[in-house]
Amino acid sequence: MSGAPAMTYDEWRVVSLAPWSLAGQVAALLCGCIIIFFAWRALRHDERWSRRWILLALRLGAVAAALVLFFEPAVRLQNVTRLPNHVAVLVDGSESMRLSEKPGEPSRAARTAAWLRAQKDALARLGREHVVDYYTFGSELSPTTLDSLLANPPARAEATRLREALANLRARYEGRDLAGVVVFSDGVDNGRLGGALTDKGLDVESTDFLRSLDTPIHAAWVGRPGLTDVAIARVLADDFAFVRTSVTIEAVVRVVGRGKNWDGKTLPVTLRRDGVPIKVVEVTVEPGVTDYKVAFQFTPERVGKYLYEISTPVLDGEAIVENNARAFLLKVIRDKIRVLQVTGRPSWDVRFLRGQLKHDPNVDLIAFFILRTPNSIDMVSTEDLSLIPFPTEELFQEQLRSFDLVFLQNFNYGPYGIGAYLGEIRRYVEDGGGLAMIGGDLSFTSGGWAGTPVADILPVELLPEGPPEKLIDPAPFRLQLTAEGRAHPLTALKLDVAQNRARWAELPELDGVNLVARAKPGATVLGVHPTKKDLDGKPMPVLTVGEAGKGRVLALGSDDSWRWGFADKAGDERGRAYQRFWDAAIRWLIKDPSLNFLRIETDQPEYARGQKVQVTVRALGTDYQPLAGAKLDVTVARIPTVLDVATTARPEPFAAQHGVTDEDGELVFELPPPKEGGYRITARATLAGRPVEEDEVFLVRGAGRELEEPEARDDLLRAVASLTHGSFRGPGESLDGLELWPPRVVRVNQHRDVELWSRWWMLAVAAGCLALNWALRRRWGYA
Amino acid sequence: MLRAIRIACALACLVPAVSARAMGDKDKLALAQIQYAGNWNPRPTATRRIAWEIAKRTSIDTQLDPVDVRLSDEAALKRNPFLYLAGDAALPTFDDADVARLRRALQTGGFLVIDGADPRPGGDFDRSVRALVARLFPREPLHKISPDHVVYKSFYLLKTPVGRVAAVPYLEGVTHDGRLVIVYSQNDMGGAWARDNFGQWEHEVLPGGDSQREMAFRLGINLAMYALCLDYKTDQVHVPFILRRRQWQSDPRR
Repeated sequence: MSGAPAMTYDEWRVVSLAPWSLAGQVAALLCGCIIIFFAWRALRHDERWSRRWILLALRLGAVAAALVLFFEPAVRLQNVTRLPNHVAVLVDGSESMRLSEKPGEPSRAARTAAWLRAQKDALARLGREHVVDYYTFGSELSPTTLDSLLANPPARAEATRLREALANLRARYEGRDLAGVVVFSDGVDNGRLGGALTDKGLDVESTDFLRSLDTPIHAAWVGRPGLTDVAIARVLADDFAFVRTSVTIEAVVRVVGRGKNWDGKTLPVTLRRDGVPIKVVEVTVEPGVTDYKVAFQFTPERVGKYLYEISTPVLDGEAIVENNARAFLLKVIRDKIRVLQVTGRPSWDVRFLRGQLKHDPNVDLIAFFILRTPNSIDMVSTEDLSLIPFPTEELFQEQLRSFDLVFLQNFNYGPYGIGAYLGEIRRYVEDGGGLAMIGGDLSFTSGGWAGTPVADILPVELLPEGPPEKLIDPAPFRLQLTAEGRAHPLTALKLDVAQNRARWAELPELDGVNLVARAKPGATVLGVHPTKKDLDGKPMPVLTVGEAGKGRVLALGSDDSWRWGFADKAGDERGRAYQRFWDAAIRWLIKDPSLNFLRIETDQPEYARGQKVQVTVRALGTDYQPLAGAKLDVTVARIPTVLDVATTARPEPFAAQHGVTDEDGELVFELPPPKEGGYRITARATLAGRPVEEDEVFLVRGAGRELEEPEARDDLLRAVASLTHGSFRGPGESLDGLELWPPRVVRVNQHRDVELWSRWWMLAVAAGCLALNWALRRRWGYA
Repeated sequence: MLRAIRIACALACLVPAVSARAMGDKDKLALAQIQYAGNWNPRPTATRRIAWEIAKRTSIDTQLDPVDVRLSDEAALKRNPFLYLAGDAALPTFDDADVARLRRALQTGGFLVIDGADPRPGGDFDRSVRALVARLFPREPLHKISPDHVVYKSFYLLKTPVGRVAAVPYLEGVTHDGRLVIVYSQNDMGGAWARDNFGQWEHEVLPGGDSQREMAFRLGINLAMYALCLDYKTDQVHVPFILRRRQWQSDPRR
């Protein structure tokens, strides 16, 4: 009869079958030791050493036999299978792998695939003894297959972080046996390992890390010398700059290798803002020099967020084109508000406004007061006077755009030769500057402003020239807020609308008003005369605001607002109304972002390729509370860069979103991952009957660091292999002979225990020792 | 020089009244004189005269007709930020409410010029002025105004303050919140300004005569200019000009 085949056992070991806990086992051993101790103690004074040692040996034998019985030893016979361990093959999938050293040659990724294809047999041999796992790595480690690597060599990761990949790998194999690692890479590492490599090798911390992996790492270098490339390798720029304050942006132009006629060539390095060149610095390529530092110094003139780009033209023979330009965002913020106050004569209105402006630490005030007119009579040498010439050209032509805001306070331009600069003032406002015209007998039509370019941008239409009584009404009056004025931030002395209205009602009267024809279409009348009418029969505008191009204008037809500060009612609030009014007016005129009714945010200022962009547009009502139900039109357009084929100034539309704000006053939407480059989001809405527009800029980064230093290098891979007892293989070399750990994990299929304690002879030893001990003790007279 | 001044003054008398083009009289600079129980107006024509000179020589519009205010009249104080207090004897003790009103007016932007017609340091007027100022600003005492202060260069470049007399070679003042709120002269500026309706100067100016009178007018104009322009002349843009002119003044040969 045939039976089951006999089981063969490969391995054996001694085990204990006793169910005792560790405490019990320790107690047993302790008992045994105590017994031996007392036995020795009883026998130690016996001068007959032979008897002493015989009895002690017998006691020892008995105790040992008892312990054997207690621990129940057995021999465990096992039938085992040794599990194959793993070999991890890591293939660099970063952006630098898609480069080829010369145009037209296969890329590094293609060469890697070819190498793997050529070593398929060697990999198959590896696979017989080990499990071969494939991964790609770049900024992350991702499992893949050999077939996938051969068919579609990866080369899109934004960074190469070998250390992070190895750490991730080790964690994956925690509890599993890793025989070794094979890394295919061009050696361009912009993670911690790359940063830790010096001429003397890797630092101590990196060395400790590699050794702690406890596995050999074999390096397969896919690089090749001969890369020729010009790159904007690095840009050093802060995230923000102050308006009208000089900024220096530095860049490093890296010239790797040399193409035909490169030495001696002059490269223009251009700084652009929103696609428009603003500065060019030239660099001459010198033999043997790789890095060239360039610096751009410029002074931003306007607040906002802008896309800047530094670029250099592509030379013949360059392997990479994308790294010839580097974009970054720069937010220009206001350090101080630069204000120009020009007044036609000293007055209390002038004095109070100057006091307000000088007291404000956020304001940098430049003031010019006309202290003496051509009509003034004084037979005094000018050397006895502190008067200075009125620098009209410097103020209204050269320096005008350096100001955020200009006050023309009861100022007639005629006697001072400023007529030639009125067009410039208009252009200044239309390009984004702020202007406030404050009334008096030298202002508005009384100051000769009717029919001038400045009148074109005022929010009120001026009366034609005429007798003074037609242009000014000197009677006192109390300013009345309009419906718009009750809710406008400029006139918000109190947050609560009712309280604000009451506060305005108790402010002192103003003495006299400059009469105007009417408010212009699109202007916002905030305050009116209680009784006077304009030419259309509507209440005479006194406080009016409007937009002119990108700038804002305020017209106040009175030179008595100082009374709101000086003649205000007594109490804690005295004088505060004047301060709050002009503070709000200044912020509104300079378009303080906190007063915007539309605000746009992206969840990040910069994105990696492939990332979605979340956009949130917030709408606020005139009370600056979230506005639900506001209809918004949002467009997203790409800002052309120097590398774009299209070079038109008009940005290309990328996306459009139309929607209505939710109960939180927000419209949130997501953009699909845009291509690399800069983008401008523009949101438009009609709020409180007025068109409002706001924009924001974000950047999608390109290859970034991968292309900063694209030249392949073997030094890091050699160092890693050396420290981990791996080997370094050059391009195309065989993968045979890689030293790998043998499998350490065993699977037990079957086992059998052969008991030792239950053998008859073990019991005989125990009994025999005890009996003989007892007999000899009696014979020799021991108790 | 003096002849030129006299001719200029004569011509000035022929010039029609300066154009009153402000939004109304209330917008013009008024030198409001404080009334009190006592000889509150020792130089009745002084304020009119200095107002006229201010309007003639500068671009400031002034109210020529005298304006008188009482400290008990808060509305009047609120209409007139520039206050002028003169006397030749001890001031009365103003009650606390009046002092509080005056203090409020000065703190919220007002300006007070105290002009002693009795130029005796330590005399009755001087003592009473110091007592009043101590009540007005207990924590900001009267101090000498430095010769570098902008009040000496707000329109004219001046070295020392003078009036009908040149008894005290400095002005004193109280500074509050970074600006002078009180200026005190013991040299009787009003005495130098006063001129009757026939064009005769009412008081002799000693020791400098007409040139000293001219300096007294210049000081008055500077005070008005300071009240309306504050520290305008300390703005950086003015500094090089003023330094150059001061240098010329100290070394006329340059």
